[in-house]
Amino acid sequence: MIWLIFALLTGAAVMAVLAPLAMRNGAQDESAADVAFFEEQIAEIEREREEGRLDAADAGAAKTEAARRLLRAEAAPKPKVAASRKLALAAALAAIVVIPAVALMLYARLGHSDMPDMPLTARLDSAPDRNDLSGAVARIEQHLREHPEDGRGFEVIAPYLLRTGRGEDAVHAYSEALRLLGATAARLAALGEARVVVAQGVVTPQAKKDFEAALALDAAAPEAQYYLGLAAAQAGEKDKAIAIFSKMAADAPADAAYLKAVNAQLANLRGEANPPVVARGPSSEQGKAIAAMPADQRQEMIRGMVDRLASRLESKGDDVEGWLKLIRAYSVLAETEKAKKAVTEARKALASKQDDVARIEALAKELNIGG
Amino acid sequence: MIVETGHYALVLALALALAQFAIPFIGARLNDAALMRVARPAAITQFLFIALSYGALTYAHVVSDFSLVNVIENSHSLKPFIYKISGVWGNHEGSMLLWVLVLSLCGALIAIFSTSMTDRLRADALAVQGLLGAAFLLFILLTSNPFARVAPAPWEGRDLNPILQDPGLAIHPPLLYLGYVGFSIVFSFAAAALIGGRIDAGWARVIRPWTLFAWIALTLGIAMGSYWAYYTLGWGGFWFWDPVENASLMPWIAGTALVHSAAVMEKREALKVWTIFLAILAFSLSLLGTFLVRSGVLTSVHAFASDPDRGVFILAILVFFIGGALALFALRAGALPVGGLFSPISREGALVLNNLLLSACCATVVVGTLYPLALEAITGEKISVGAPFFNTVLIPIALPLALLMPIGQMLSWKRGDLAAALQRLRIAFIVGVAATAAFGAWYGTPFLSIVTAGIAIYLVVGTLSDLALRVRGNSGRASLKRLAGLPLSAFGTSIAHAGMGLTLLGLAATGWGVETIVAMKPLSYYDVGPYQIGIDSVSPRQGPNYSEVYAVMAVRKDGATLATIEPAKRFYQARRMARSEAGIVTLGLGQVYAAIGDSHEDGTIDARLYWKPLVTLIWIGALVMAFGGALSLADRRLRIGVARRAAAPALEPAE
Repeated sequence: MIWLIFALLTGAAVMAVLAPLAMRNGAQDESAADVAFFEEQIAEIEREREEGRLDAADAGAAKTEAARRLLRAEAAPKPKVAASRKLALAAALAAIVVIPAVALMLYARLGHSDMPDMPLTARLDSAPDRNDLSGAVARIEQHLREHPEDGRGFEVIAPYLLRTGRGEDAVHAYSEALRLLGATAARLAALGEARVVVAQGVVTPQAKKDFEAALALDAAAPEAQYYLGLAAAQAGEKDKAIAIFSKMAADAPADAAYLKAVNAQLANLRGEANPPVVARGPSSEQGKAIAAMPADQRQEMIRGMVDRLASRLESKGDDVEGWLKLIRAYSVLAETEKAKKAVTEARKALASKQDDVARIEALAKELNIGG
Repeated sequence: MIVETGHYALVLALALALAQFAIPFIGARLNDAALMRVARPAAITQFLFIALSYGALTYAHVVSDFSLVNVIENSHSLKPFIYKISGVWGNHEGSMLLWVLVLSLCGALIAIFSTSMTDRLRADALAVQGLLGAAFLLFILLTSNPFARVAPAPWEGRDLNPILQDPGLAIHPPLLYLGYVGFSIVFSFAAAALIGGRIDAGWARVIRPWTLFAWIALTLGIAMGSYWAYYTLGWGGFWFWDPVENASLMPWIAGTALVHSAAVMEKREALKVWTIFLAILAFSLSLLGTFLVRSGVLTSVHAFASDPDRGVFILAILVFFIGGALALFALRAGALPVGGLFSPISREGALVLNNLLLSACCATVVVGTLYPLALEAITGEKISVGAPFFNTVLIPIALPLALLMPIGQMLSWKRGDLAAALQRLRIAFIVGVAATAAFGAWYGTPFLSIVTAGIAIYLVVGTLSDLALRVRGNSGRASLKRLAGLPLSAFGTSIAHAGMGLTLLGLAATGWGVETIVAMKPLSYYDVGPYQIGIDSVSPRQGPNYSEVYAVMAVRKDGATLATIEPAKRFYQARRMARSEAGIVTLGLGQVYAAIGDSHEDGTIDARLYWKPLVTLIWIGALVMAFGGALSLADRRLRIGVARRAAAPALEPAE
C-alpha cells in the first residue's frame, strides 16, 4: 500500500518535468518582454498626463526617454531561442531515470517504510503487551486523566512513578490517592517518603507533617518513625534521633526488614561526632570516612572508586557482583549512559552464565535503564 | 503511513529541486525553450511535496506519534493543541523544514506570478532557487532529519522548551522566515541577471514587490520577536544586541536599503549594479544569520541543539552561495550597463545618501556581531559587545538619517531644490524644536532621549507635511480630488517614514523609564513612576503541563485602582524548567510591567516593577512601517520618475 503511494508520488514528480518538455509550442522572442515593458510605461505616462498628474512638458520628456529605450531594446541582438526535440528527449530520459533513482536511493538509506504511524491514543487503546510495564503505566495515566476520581489507579502507579524518577508525579499520585481513598498511616507515610525522595533525602517540613499525621493514626508505623528519626538527625537533634531509633530497634520484631537500616542509623549517630546523615547511611569503616569528607571530595573519592571498579571489570569481567555494583553506582551518580553501557558489557562478559545475566537484566529493569 | 509518506515526499522534493536547477539552467545556456519551461512546474510541484511533508510532520506532532525522535524530544501528550502545531517549528529539524517550505513557496510564487519577464530570466532565477532548495533539503535529510524514527516508541515525550510555549511561537518564526527567505527571490533574480549577463528592463519592477514583501514580513517578525522577548524574559528589555537578534537586524537594514535603491532603479534606471549587489547582500546576511543561529556557534534559545556536523554543512552552503554570488558579481558587474544620470541634490541623491548611511549601520552590526566570535575562535578570549558599542556607533548614524528622511521626500527626481525643500519643512522644524524644548522642560534628562524625541517628532510631522503639501489645493474639493489622485505608494512612503518616527520616539522614551526592585509586602504600595503597585494575593495554580505561583497586583493612581495584573512564575514538570510570565498593563501609550521572583517565608515576594512611558510606540511604529510597506506593495502602477517640480529642463539620460 505505502509503495503504491510512493509510486504515485514519484510518477507525479516525473510528470511535472515531462509535461513542459512534451509541449510543442515554443520559442519566445527574447526582447518581447522588454518591448512590452516600455510600451506599458509609455501608456502609463500618457494616462498620468490625462489625469493631470503630469504636466505636458514632463510627460513629453519621460516619453522620449522611454521611447529611446524601447527602440534600443528592439534593436538589441537577439539570441536564437529554439526548442530542440533531441534536447527535450534527453532531458526527459534523464528525469525519468534520475528523479526516481535519487529518491529511492536516499529513502532506502533513511526511511522506515515498514513502520506504521503510531498515534498515542491508538497505542493506548490497543491490546496491552504483558511485558511492557511502561506502556501499562501510560495507559493507567491516560485512564486517570479521564477518570480523575479513581483513587485506586493513583495508588497503583505511584510507586512505579517514584522508582522511575518521576518524583513530583509520584507525590501528586500519592496525594490524590490519599484525598480520594481516605487517610491511612501507610498512605501518609508513602506520601512523605515520596517527598523525601524528591528532596533528595532531606526530610522537608511538609514531609514531616505527613509522617506526624501517619503516627497519629498508627503510633507504630515504622516508616513514619524512621523518617521522623532521620528528620531529627538532619536537624542536629542527635539525642532525639537516637531515642526514636532505639525505640524502633527495641520494638521491632526480630525479622523486620527495616531493622538493618535502623541499626545503621544508630551506629552512625553514636559512632561519629557529627556525621552527615544521608537517607541510607554507609555502614563500613571506609564508608564512614567517606561520609565525613566535604561534599566535593567525597564525590571525587566515590568517582575514583567507581572508575577503579570499571577498569577492573574491563580486564576481568567474570564478576557478577562487581557488575551489579558498577551499574548501581552509575545509576546513583545519574550517569544513565554509562549505566546502560555497563549493562551491555556485563551481558557480553557474563554471556556463558545464564543466572548471572538474569540478575543483570533484573537490575537493569529495576533501575529502568533497559539497554 | 502518513509519516513515511511525508518522509518520501521530502526525498522526492530534493530530486525535483535538482531537476529544477539542472534542466532550466542547461536550457538557458543552450537557448532551448522547452528545457527552460521545466522550471515553473518543477518549482510548483516541489513546493507541493514539501508542503505534504510538512503536513505529515504536523500530523505526527498533533497525534503525539512518539515513534519520531523529533516528536519525543519536543512534544508532550499533554501539551496544549496550539503548541503541538507551533511546536513543529519550535525545534531545529522542524524549523529547517519550515525554512525550505518557505523557500519552495517563494519558488512557486515566482513560477506563478512572474509573467512579464523573459523565459531566460525566469529559468535562471528558478534554477538558482532550485539549487538553494537542494542544498537545504540535503542538509535536512543528512544532518537534521525530522522523520528519524525509534523503536520501541516511548510513551511520553520530553515537552517543548517552556520559553517557546507561548502564542509568540505561532507568529514570530513564520514571519521571520518569510522575511529571511523572501530575500532569496531577490537573490535568485540578481544571480540570474548576472548569469545571463543582462538586466531586463522590467527587472527592477519584478523584484520590487518581492523586496517589499520580504521587508514587511521581516519588519513584523522582528517586532514580534522583540515584544515576545520583552514580555517573556521578565527583565523588561526588548532588544539585547544579542547576536541572534543582530542576525535578523542585518538583513533588515540591507533590505531597507534595497527597498530604496530598487525604487531608484525602477523609476530612473539608475543604481542598477548597486541594487544587484544589495540584493545579494540581503540574502547573504539572511544565510549568515541562519548559520549563526543553527550551527551551534551561539548558545541561545534559538539554537536548540548544537551539532558540529550541522555547523560545517551550513558553513559550506553559506560559502558556496555567498562566495559564488559575489564571484559572479565581480566577473559580470563591469559588463552591466549603467543607468540614468542625476544631480547630487535630487531624490536619487538623497536615496544614495540613505543607502550609504544604512550600509554603515549594517557594517556596524556585522562587525559588532562577528568580531567577538572571531576573537573567541582565534584567541579564546571572550568579550561581550553590547549596547554601549552599538549605541555609540549607531546613534550618530541613525539620527542624521532620520533628519534626512523628510528632506529626501521633498526633493524631486533628477534635480532637486534643497532650499525649497527646507522651506517646505519649516513647520516640521519648528514643531521639532518646540517638542525638544517641551521634553527638556518636562523630563530634564537624559539629553540623548530629549534630542532623539525631538527628531522623532520632526520626522513624523515632516513626512506627513510632505503628504499634506502634495494634497493642498485652492479649495476643499480640489484638495479632496488631489488626495484621491495621489498614488498609494506616496501614502506608503509617508506612512512608513512616520512609523520609523514613532519607533524612534518609543526608543527615546526608554530614557525616561522607571525601574525598582523591591521585596513587596502584602497590602503595601510601592511608587513606580506616576503609579503605585501593591500585592493583593500570592497563590499557586495548576496549568495543563506546568504549575505556577501567581501574584495579583493592583496598579493605582491617586488612590483609584486602574488595573490588576498577574505576574507569575511557572514551573514546567517535564523539562524541570522555570520561566516567568510578566504582568503587563498598557496605560496610555506606556506600560506598567511587573515580574516576580522568589517568595519568602515572611510573606514578602521579590519583584521587579517598571513604568515604561511610550514604550508601545516601538512596536506600533513597526506595525505602521509594515502598513506603509503594504500600501506601497498594493500599488502596482509602473513607477515613473519625472522631475515634477523641477523648473529646469531634465538632464539627458546616459546612453
